[in-house]
Amino acid sequence: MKKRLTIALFVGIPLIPLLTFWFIPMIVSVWLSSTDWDYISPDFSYVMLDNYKQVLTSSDFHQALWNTVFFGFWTVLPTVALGLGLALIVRKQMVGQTFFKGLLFTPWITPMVAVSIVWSWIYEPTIGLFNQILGFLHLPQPQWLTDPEYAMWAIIIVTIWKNAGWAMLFYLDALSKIPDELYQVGDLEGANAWHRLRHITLPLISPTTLFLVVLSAIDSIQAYDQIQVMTQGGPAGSTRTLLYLYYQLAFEQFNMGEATAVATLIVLLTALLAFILFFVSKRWVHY
Amino acid sequence: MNATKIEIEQLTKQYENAATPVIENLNMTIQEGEFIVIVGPSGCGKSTTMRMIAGIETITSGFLKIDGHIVNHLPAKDRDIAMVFQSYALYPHMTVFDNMAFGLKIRKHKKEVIQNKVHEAAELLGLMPYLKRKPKDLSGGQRQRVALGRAIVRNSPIFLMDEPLSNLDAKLRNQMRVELLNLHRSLKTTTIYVTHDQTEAMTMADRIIVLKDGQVQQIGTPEEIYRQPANLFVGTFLGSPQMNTMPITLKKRTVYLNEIAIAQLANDINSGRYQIGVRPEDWLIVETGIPLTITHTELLGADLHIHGNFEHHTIILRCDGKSTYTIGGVIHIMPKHLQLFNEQEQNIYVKLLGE
Amino acid sequence: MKQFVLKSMPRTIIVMLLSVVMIFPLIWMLLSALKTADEIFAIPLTWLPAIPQWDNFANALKLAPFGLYIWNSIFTAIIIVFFQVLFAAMLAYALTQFTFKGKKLLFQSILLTYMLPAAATYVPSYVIISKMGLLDSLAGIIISNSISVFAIFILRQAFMQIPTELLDAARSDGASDFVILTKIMMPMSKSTIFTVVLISFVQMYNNYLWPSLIVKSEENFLITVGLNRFFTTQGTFAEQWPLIMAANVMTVAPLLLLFLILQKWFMKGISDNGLKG
Repeated sequence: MKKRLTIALFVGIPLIPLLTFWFIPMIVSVWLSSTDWDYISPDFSYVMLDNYKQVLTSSDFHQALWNTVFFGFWTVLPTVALGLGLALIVRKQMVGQTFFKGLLFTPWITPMVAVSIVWSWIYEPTIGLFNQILGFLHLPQPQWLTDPEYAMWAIIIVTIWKNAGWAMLFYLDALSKIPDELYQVGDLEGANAWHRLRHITLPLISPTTLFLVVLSAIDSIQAYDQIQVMTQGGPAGSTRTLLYLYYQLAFEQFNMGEATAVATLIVLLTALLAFILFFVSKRWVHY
Repeated sequence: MNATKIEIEQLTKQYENAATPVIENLNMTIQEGEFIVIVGPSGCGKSTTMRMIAGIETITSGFLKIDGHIVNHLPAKDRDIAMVFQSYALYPHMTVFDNMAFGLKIRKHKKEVIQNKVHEAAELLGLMPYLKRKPKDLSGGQRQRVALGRAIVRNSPIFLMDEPLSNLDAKLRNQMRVELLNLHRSLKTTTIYVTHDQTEAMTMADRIIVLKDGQVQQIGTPEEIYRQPANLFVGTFLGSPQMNTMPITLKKRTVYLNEIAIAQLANDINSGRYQIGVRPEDWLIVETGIPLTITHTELLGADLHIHGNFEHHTIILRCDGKSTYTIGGVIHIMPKHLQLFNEQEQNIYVKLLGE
Repeated sequence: MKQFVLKSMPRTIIVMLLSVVMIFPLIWMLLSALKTADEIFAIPLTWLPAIPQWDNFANALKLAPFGLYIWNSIFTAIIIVFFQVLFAAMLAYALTQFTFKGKKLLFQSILLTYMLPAAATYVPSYVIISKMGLLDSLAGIIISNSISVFAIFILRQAFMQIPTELLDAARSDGASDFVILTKIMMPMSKSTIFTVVLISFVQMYNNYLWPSLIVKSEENFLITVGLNRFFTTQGTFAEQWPLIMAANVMTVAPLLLLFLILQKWFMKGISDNGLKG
């Protein structure tokens, strides 16, 4: 009897916030997506799949979906590749190694809102640091945050910059777990640096690569702060991702039905992504 | 003939910040096709020596010559040496075939050539059924064979083996020992084999190099090393059960152990205090000699080991397995052959009268 | 040693350059915070301020109460982290030590939630917070963040590493579940818990979207919300940029300080526990 009470307490107490702010909202969100609720009026009616029809046929959604995929692709791959590159360079023993690792990791610690403000200053077209350097090198100086061609790239660069050090940490750990002898055998067999990377290092760290790709991809779907600070989804919706669209629908237009429909689609996209990546991984990840 | 001569001159390895060198002024010449075993206790520098030959460890000073050319600064990949590691160092993400083929693939050999060579080696090692498996699906012995196969496929003139059998169980180790020897007989590759196991050293080597604390103690055939150890360390390191050692006094060619005369030397040696070493099989059971109180006996089939005490000395002798002795009983023994070591523990050549 | 330093020299230089490039936006932020408005708009750009304008910080503080914002952020983050660890420890204990109906379902639900974007819950959570009358209050932020799926997950992993014999021994000595949790399991997992605390704290301090929906009045602003508000209101006035940068420096400083002191813990903890960003 006492045991039961203990279990009830240990499970029950944490379950209250878990239910209230995770499980129930997840379900309610899906339910709301079949209504036309506008947050202000007390009553609403069921519209079944109308919200989805509306969303899926709107050009805003198409644009946001494309932006999300584009943003995801161009942040995940460079982040992971840069993380690996940094790890490969920093890995070997050298003076001040810990210090440099710390510096490379620092951007991850800082608040995205704060660094986005710094970056929007760096991106300033005429006096910003970035364009002044580009001008010095006689390269084109785009209107980073106000040109639809470049705004997304500006957001992407900030995101890669912030997360590369984080990927580096995971790679450092994975690299340290490869036995030296495998490289020594490689040396004896005649492998050069490229062979070692291609045939020994990359296959052996592939579980970490998969892990980082999945997490960064899921993370990229949730990107919000940098967009909010730097472009508010503009110009001309060129940096409006699905999540930003959701935010605008829900908390700017109070179109809760369509917003939650987008939320459901985001969830589905995430699940699909995770599923595909794990399925694909069977082919090239070596455990 | 696919074999190469290795010469080592004044080879020294010292790590930065280390007080003493791991290997100091090592000299040896390894003949073409020879099977050399480097043996010694852990930390004696035997693996370091091998790794310097392989090129995975840098040489602090001295020369390493392969076929007469100094290769000190030649990178490992250009030395054309195959090595078998204690841990096997198989690539976990590659199949047996790919593990064996790796060296050939990156050297851009033709597909058919690779296939033929790998199959040839796999045939030799009985690995044909396992070519598509990954290392984690193999037993210890099979992994060992893959590691060997990888070395064979390369057709290198030099094989280095770093304790290749130490991760196997006793039965498999005996079997692999024979296989390795057969392999060496058919390939005639110059082989350097590192081990701390004296049985492997004794049974496999053409010549043994005994190392201790980075210094060569003795180089010689197994028989020379066993019958004529250069010093006390070599004498006690090789041979099982261990050589019996005890302090004695020598007066006018007569060896006294606690006042008992136990042997007469045939050659002239200065009187004084020495240590002797007697192999367990070099004792004779006699009417009068060292009175040994038997503490226990071990029957190992053909042989019987008798352990006993004489005053504070513990002595082991080996005799015919058919004889029986009672524990607590006393037998008298005399050496029929012995080694004499001076204060520096160096062997002084002696012959017993009538030997 | 000398030889070693020389040999790694080219690589050290490359790493040094990379580190400087990575850290440069933060250096630029600090430099800009110390410049005059004229310096900050100069073409070609001036790298260093002629005279460091420490007044920029004071002037920024005159325009908005950043001290209060930072205090709000640190205060809520600490309370949130406390509850997250407490609840996560209880649930992780239940998941590893008890058998009860629906345990598997509970764990699978938690696992699923771990993968899904938190933003998908925001609309209903927002309604729930407002029904509770906690809109525009720090309590609303605290309560809605009081459970962390990620903390449950990591603590469960840590608890599973503890040998059962140890717990059985404690039980046979008559220790209650509460004692086992607080006197054995939590102390034994303290490095994991510490990592969770650090990461959660950083995440909560940096959190923006959700708090920006909840809090409306200035006295409840978290630093991220307050900073962005300051940026959107002052950013249009060119001469205010040095003040914005000064505000940025104040925002980032507590975290950089924390990181400076506990760098080893951050880096080790993240790669050891496979923590999600």
